[in-house]
Amino acid sequence: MVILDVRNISTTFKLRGTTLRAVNDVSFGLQKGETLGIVGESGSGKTVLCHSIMQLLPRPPADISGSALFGLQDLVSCSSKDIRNIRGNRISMVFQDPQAAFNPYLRICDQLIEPLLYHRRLSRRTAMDKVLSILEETGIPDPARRCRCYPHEFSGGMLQRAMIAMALITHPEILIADEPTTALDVTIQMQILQLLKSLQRQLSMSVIFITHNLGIVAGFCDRVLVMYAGQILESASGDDLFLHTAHPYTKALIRSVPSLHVNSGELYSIEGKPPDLTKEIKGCPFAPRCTYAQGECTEEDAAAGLVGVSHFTSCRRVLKGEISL
Amino acid sequence: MKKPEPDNIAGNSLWKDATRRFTANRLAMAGLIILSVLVILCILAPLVAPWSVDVQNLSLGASAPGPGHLLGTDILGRDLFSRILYGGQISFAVGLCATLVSVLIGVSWGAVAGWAGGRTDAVMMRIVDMAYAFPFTIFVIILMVFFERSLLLLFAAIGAVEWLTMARIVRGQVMSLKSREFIDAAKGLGLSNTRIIIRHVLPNIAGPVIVYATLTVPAVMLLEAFLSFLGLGVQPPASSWGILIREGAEAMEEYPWLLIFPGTVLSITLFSLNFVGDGLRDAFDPRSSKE
Amino acid sequence: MNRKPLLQVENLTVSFPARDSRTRMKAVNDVSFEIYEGETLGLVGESGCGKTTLGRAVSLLQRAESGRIHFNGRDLLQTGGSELRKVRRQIQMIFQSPFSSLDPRMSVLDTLSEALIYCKGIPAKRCIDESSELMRQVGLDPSVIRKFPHEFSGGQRQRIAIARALAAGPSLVIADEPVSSLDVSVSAQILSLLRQLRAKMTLTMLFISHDLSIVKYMSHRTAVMFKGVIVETGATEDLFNKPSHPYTKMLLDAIPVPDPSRKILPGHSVPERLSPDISSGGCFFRHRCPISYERCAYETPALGPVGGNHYCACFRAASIEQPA
Repeated sequence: MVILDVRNISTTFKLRGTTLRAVNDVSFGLQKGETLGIVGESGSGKTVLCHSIMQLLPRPPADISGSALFGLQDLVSCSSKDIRNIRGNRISMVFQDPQAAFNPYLRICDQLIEPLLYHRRLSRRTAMDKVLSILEETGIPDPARRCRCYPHEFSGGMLQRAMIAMALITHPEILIADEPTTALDVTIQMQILQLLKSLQRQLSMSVIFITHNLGIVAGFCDRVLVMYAGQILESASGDDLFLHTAHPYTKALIRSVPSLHVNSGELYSIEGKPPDLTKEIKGCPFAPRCTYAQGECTEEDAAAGLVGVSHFTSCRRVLKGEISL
Repeated sequence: MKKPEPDNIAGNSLWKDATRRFTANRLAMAGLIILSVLVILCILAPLVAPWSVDVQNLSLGASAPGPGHLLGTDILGRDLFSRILYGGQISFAVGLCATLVSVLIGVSWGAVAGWAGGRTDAVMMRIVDMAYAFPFTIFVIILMVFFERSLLLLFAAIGAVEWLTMARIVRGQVMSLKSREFIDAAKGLGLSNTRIIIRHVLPNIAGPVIVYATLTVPAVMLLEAFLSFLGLGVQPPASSWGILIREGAEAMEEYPWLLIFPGTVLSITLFSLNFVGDGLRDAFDPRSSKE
Repeated sequence: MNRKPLLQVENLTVSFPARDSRTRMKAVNDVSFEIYEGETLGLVGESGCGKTTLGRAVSLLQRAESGRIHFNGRDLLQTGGSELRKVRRQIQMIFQSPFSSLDPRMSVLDTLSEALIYCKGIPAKRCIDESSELMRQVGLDPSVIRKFPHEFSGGQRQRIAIARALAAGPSLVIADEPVSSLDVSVSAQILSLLRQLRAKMTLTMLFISHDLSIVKYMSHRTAVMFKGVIVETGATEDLFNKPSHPYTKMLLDAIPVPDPSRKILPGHSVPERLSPDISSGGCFFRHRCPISYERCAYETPALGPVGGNHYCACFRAASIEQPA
């Protein structure tokens, strides 16, 4: 069952005379209980996409077109009152830097209680009980004492757990996590990912997980979108993405990451740089750097098609069967 | 085979960026232009002023603006416009020199304290703290009473007060610069501390120093006006805007223009300096220079 | 590979005043290791393990409390003044942040020339040619040599930083998380570049990173650090295929691998208690260790051989299950 239906989102920024196309005609659907990974490097548009859907971008200078249907409401065009009722309540977000998400002058419990008081209109006492129970579920020891601490008294990993607690306290239907573990140590990262998985099962929640780490995507996500220059180049299940890769960029990305278990020779490094988003891009945005590119890749409009069940690619050569990756 | 010429592509240094941002700031440019006009007029006073300052036309007495006297005359019949121009020379000179003194002392003090750190820094900054607490007015009065009332002493006294904040600013900048990795890299190259401070630290603190210096000038000029108003600053027959304002204040009921004109000129100058200082601060803001 | 160690560190300790400023906290605790000419030693560990402090101590940017750093036969901690300034030019560092490791007020030409003039004694008029050559070596177009750091991307700035390090003509390069703040594809470019350059110039490297996969790719030998102590060291192949210390094993297990058959399963774990007093003796890792026993509480294990050139600081080293 599709709970979030995103159609044709395009986001442009008007800056000093130029227009920057950060997101270019992106569509996808999020199923209930599904973990959707959005993979891309910096500048790929993955964060701007989610900010666009959640109305977190000031407009102007941002200009957003398209729709994101959540139930009957279009998140992109609904009123600020409506989106405020949804944010932190039915759709929550978790960010990379937990220090930045918390008010350093308020205790953790005061901050965690807010969504309940505001969205659910619970009494203080009921809300406090819920706070304690969510803190316990996110694995924070001695919650009664800890919640009266201030953010700076928590370690990085614990603060990230607290941020997850704050996001999940209203039992949202969707959790959008934007690089939540990038700043954490690898062992803490694993704990946080395992925690997210178990909470997701418990609450039958859908998760949109934004990351540049392919390793996390493989182990954590059911489906993956690969973004580049504001466009989706490939979309597939986790297995298909790695085992039946259908886009040269995805393949190149996989090969650029040094592998722990395979003895690789030289690391594959993608030549060149991402394209200038202030200029019009004809055809495939990855073509200038692609080893498989041919004339048609830049001369004709971007392709789009399925290579398998729910496996989408924008590589015209793969779709025509001219190359196999 | 011809080697690629490295000379043709010039870079955009941060100075160029700052200049570009400053010239685009209309308020700052307006301030700069007004300031320049005033300064030039004052410097060229001997050529521009219609009357010499010691010419007294006692029969005229204090007269309102009229033919021959653009801004009127004072009680002794001296042309006000000319007095303002010559007074401006002193006021600007005090502003510039005292600021220069404060910059030199403040930058040296702050740079040494910030770079040395530890106990040296603690001692040096405690001295600054104590100096802050010292009542300035009393200090200057004491100076003026015990020593000859000279212009040079005035520069020194004012500069000696204003350097405190400059020292604090510079020390803060140097301390945060110390932890930047390019300073570590310079140490790794085996450069001596002096060389690192001159080549890497000073150019990188120049921005805030220039901004603060520009904002110190109006403070200094106001201070000079205040002192002269009290009779402690510039002594007649020399005049400064402060003296003119004092004389104007004494006579303002009967001859209001004697206060209005010098007061307005001082205000315009202070405004312009502040606009320029603000413009410089925005121009140098490192946040705007990151791509 | 030559068997003479270019760098030999003995019992190095670096400490900082703790928060209560009465006691001192040891960021690097009695560490010893050596790096041989032409090899790259990878230093890996999580945040707070002391690897960056160790790198800075070896390059003399951080004062060590005790120990010896033998470089080219000379103890750097006993050298001072102008002699020290000359020697330290042979140890160059590449820093993590491409933003703050270059002086924003100096053009690339200025930055490279400074290194060339002061370290190699190259006369000023030859600097343009030499600098252009360095730019080419790191894969940059020499025509942009007069541009300033803010006009380059992160990856390009890192290349400039590498060029500066090479300009000094070092025999030891310490790379402290050189690609951590870069994108995946840019990071791959920089790592490949480093490998090419080290082969071409027979550089000796200390490669510090928290990312085990990168360390595996770059290093001949690897050392694992935890809370200021080296807990395991050995040839990279050996260490990664047959990890001996429980911490190494924990690190390897925690790395998400781009292999869809290895799924991350739901799990509930309690975050480790913020470690109590480290100085209370015993093995520092015992609070997180799945196989600690009584001896770990009162005796601190030293690095002991576990076969070949592989050393491990654990009393139960032999009993770790090997990965399938």
